Amino acid sequence: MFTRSIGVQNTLKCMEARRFVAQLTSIHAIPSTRTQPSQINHSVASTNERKSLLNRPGLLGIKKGMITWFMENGEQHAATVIEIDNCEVVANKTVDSDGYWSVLLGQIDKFKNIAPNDLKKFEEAGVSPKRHIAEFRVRDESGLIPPGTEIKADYFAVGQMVDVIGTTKGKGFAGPMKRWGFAGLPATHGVSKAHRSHGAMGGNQDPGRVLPGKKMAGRMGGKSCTVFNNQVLYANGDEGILIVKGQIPGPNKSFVKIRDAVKLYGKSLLKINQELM
Amino acid sequence: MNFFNTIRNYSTRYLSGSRARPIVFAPLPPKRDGEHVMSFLQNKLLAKYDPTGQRRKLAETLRAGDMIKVTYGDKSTAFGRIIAIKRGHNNVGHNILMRNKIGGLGVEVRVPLFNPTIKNIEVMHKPEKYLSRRKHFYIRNTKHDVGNIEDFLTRERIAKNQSN
Repeated sequence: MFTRSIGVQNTLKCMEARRFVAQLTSIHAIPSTRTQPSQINHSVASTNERKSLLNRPGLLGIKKGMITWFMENGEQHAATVIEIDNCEVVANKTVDSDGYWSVLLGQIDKFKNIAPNDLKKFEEAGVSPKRHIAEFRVRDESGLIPPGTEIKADYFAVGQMVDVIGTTKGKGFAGPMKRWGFAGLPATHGVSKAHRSHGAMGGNQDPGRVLPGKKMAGRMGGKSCTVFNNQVLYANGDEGILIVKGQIPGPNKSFVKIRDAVKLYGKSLLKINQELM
Repeated sequence: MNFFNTIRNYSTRYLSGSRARPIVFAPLPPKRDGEHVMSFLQNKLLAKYDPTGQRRKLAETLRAGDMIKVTYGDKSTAFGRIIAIKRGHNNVGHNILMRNKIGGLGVEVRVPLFNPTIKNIEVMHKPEKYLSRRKHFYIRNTKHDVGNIEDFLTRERIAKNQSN
């Protein structure tokens, strides 16, 4: 089905060009070959193979505030407290139905203002309706967890690294100094009413326009942000408390997603296959 | 694995009525007996790092202007006059900023009150009249600035012995 008769065509071309030249074709020459079907890189299947993923889902939590944390050697660190409250598996997504493997989790029981369609989903899972629902992609089928399972804070081990995904605090319409850390214009030397503005915007006649992506004033914050490789300092499932070292995005009481550090523990299927070979 | 809790009371119905409604399962029992995460955690940490409540009591009595002696876990000591106390609200984030002059050079040390490496904090001297303000940052390199605290304390001790 993938036969290519390149050899034959070439021979014909040669014959045409040298019609009047005596030529012998070797009996060992291969007139055609059967090639392997080429893999299409720009497809869902191969994208999934290339993507660096974890072998298990993460957790949902609520940022509760920051505290002082003392290490055993007396070192003192700022740490963030995350509450893990009734985080349960709501559903799973599979390659057959959705094209990829993932786990849908919900957190915090909610009993008011729930759409009937959503109620049906929760009933199927056998869990109370949830305030937040989020999805975690997993590498393969082994990462799926049956719906209705509660996952507690001690899912993470003390000392391991995690990534925390949250929405940053909204700063409103901010100038270029605050938004991009520009230096601003001088205080004196003839500068008038433009001390906090950006300077030049680019070339003049060439390119004759402001290039796309130019850093300018605009809406700042309120965007999704991931902090990578935060160490877990404390995890207690019964108390529902997870403490990570350092800062995480967003205000207190905000919804965050926590997962194993993808830069440390994440691997693509392609890489695993290469390692096996 | 212990973090998977599959024991649920599936038979409980939260809503019920004559019409066929979807079942809503009962909520899981509240953790920490419903106590707020932060207060629960702070109380736990205070009980761990200050089981007798001595440090908390000390923090209440201390004031900028007092002279203290801090003993660390390795038995090294540091003297200083308090110039500021950062107080937390029922948490382990308290710390004391104390100033001393060693070899004519002003030296400031921040002492975390509940850090387990700090063995003891002793009040050595309380002035009869305090300077104004809660935070004495303004004394730096002025006529109100501290001298060598150790020398001051030894002189004071000798004077006390002589009067006795």
